[in-house]
Amino acid sequence: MESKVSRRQFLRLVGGAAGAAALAACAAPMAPAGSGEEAMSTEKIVIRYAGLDGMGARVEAFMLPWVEDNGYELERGAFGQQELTDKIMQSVATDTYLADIFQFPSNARADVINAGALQEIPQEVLEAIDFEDVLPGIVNTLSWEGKIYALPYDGDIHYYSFRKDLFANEDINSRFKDSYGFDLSPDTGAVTWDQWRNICEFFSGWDWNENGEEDDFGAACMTKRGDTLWWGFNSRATAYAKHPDDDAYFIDLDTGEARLNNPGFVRALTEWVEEMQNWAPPGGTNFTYGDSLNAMNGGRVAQTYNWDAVTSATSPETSVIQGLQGYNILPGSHEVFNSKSGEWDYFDVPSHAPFHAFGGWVIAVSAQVDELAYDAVWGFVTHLTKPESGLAFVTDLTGASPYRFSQMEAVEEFATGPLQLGEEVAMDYLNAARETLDHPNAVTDQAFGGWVQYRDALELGVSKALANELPPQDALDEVAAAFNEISERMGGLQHQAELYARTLGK
Amino acid sequence: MATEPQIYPSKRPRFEIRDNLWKWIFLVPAVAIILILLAVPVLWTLYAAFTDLHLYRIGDFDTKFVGLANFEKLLSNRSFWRTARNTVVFMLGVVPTQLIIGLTVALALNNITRGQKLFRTWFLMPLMVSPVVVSFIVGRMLFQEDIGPINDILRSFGFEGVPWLTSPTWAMVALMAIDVWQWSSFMILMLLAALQGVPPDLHEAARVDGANQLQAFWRITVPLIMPITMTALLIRIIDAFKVVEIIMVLTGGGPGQATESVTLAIYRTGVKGGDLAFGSSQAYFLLIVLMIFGGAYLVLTRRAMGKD
Repeated sequence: MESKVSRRQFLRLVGGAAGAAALAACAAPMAPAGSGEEAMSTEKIVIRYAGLDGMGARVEAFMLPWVEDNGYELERGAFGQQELTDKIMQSVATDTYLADIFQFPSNARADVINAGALQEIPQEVLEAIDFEDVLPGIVNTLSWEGKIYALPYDGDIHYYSFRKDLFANEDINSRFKDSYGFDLSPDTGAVTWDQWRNICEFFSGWDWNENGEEDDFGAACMTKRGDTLWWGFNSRATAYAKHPDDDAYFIDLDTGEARLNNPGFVRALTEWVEEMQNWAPPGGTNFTYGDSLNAMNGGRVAQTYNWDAVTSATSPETSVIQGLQGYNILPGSHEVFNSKSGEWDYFDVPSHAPFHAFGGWVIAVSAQVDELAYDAVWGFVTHLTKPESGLAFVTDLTGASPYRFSQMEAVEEFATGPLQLGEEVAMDYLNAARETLDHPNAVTDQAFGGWVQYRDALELGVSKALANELPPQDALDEVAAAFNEISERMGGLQHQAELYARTLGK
Repeated sequence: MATEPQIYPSKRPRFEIRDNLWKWIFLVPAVAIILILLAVPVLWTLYAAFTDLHLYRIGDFDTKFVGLANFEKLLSNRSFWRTARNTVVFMLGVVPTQLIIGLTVALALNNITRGQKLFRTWFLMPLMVSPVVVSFIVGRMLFQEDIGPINDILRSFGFEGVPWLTSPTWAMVALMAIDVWQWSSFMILMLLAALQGVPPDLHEAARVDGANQLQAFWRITVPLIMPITMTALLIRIIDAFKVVEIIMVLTGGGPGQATESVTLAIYRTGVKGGDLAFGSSQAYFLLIVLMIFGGAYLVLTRRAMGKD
């Protein structure tokens, strides 16, 4: 039986009831800021911004002079990472006002844009911020069906990070070569995941950091469910599961069937479980993003992959490895599983499939922006995302990573600016960023709608394998079944496959 | 014969009518707010449990009435039953432990004459700290497997470090330890209040009649503190069934699904995942279980205490 109430009507009724209750309780009007009579009676136009607590504070500090010069006021809503995503998704789903401008994770673009929650970016704004300068991999995270709905702020990707000083040590290298038959490379680190595993094993169980304690291990990764496990696992799996001749990774573009339990993913998980159980610090199968960074920056592991390994390693407050680290694109593999043929294909030159993990925070203008604040809001986002502003953000300790061609050339600013990377590290960092963002076989993060549910399903299955509750194949069978069930619920396998194709720019 | 009209005093004087009217004027807004804030969400949630309502589905999908489909799915959902099992294990682990600790400490405190107020205040303190803070400071820092102080102490005595957060069993133990640390105080304070309500002359009379301390405890103290004890137990059992904060902070429900509670599963399904329909059915399932359990508990308690 089908009810006459649509989902949106239902949610509006609930929202209306809640609003009425709030009005009764507070006996105060709760109209959206800057709207109606309230805005008419005030002289200053108020711009409301919803974003992450830390990043938002930096945005506020950066934008306040502009705001004051123009006679506006800025009100900033500050949220934790997951809280912000939840707030945005709920405001979108219930069609309620959250802010004029919001920072949101680009993975949520299908959910947010499709719900009609965003303004399309006007051409004059795109021209004002020199949109042509933005790397194509990032442009994809801002677009939907050929239209631009968000502006770039952050080029989030996973960087492979390793201890260049250890790899350059002749004595260590000679012992390593005796065991594994190849040299440690201080220039590239591990080129394949096989090499990564060898390095993991070699650097575990002896006092290479010379602090007198057996607290040295091969690697640390983000493995905690509910934290950043999704990105930790996918970065480890793409090289095996993303074939260069096939655009798809998560689900099949023709059938919509989940691929998460194919041999490529199973191999990645099997190896990852072994690595995290044997060659990571104690508790390594339940590490948060911060735990893995701390292990690397604390000089306890020889390698990791992370978003902020580069910038956080330079700070004397958080790192004992300043200047000792090298960076590269994520390792690749000679063997890649071909989902179409059902066989492993061999590549003479390792195939890389760098993961655009998270895809970055983007800046968007709400469809519910008040008319009175319209010009102010577009002025705000233009100033915030123009090339000079972007460079200021990515070369400071803001958590934002480079995303423009021009930023990739700005070695000097990264080397001697607030980040103080030094020329060699800056070069490594920018090369890895460009190679990842520009890579023809790069994997776009899941963004085809319902990403929170898919993420939770994968994290549950993988964490079961990490805890030895299930063998990797069984765990991933559960994940694949859950993916298919979610796809059915979200409109059907074919529907999700079509959305996936759109997120890939097809 | 003309009779003078007799004046009878009115049975409902004017001021009483006004008084009633005022009562209603003051009552209606409060009742309306309660109805809106409590009844409307509860009823909408019940409605949602019988639909396929989903927050994040892309496209113009109408909400469909699906009957008992969500509840059927719930009953066959292995993942949900795992969370139910975890919740019961957690409850069975923490509540009896808190009762034993609470009773032991309350008995000790009841017998001291100096410093009782100080101890009472001291035991209040864990209750005043947010569970999130407790989980982070007591949990994530003390139980940190690599460099946490508990494992450090164990290692200094030559023992292996315990995989507090990566072993399914130990992760549950760690969660129980945190909950016991925080909520034993509640039991101590409740039971101490109960013990202080026991008239001392009853014990004196029993002693005169030749009862030893154990007999006096079982025959006098236990029956007299039973009503408060049972109330405190019910409160703690319901709280334990709804545990969520410490799990989110400490283990996130992991490793695997070893520590995921029903409430955390509801939050993940409904709030984070946007599946309001299935989340609502889980919430109602928990509510029904708690209502049945609470009702049965109260009936059995009354019978046991001889009031039925």
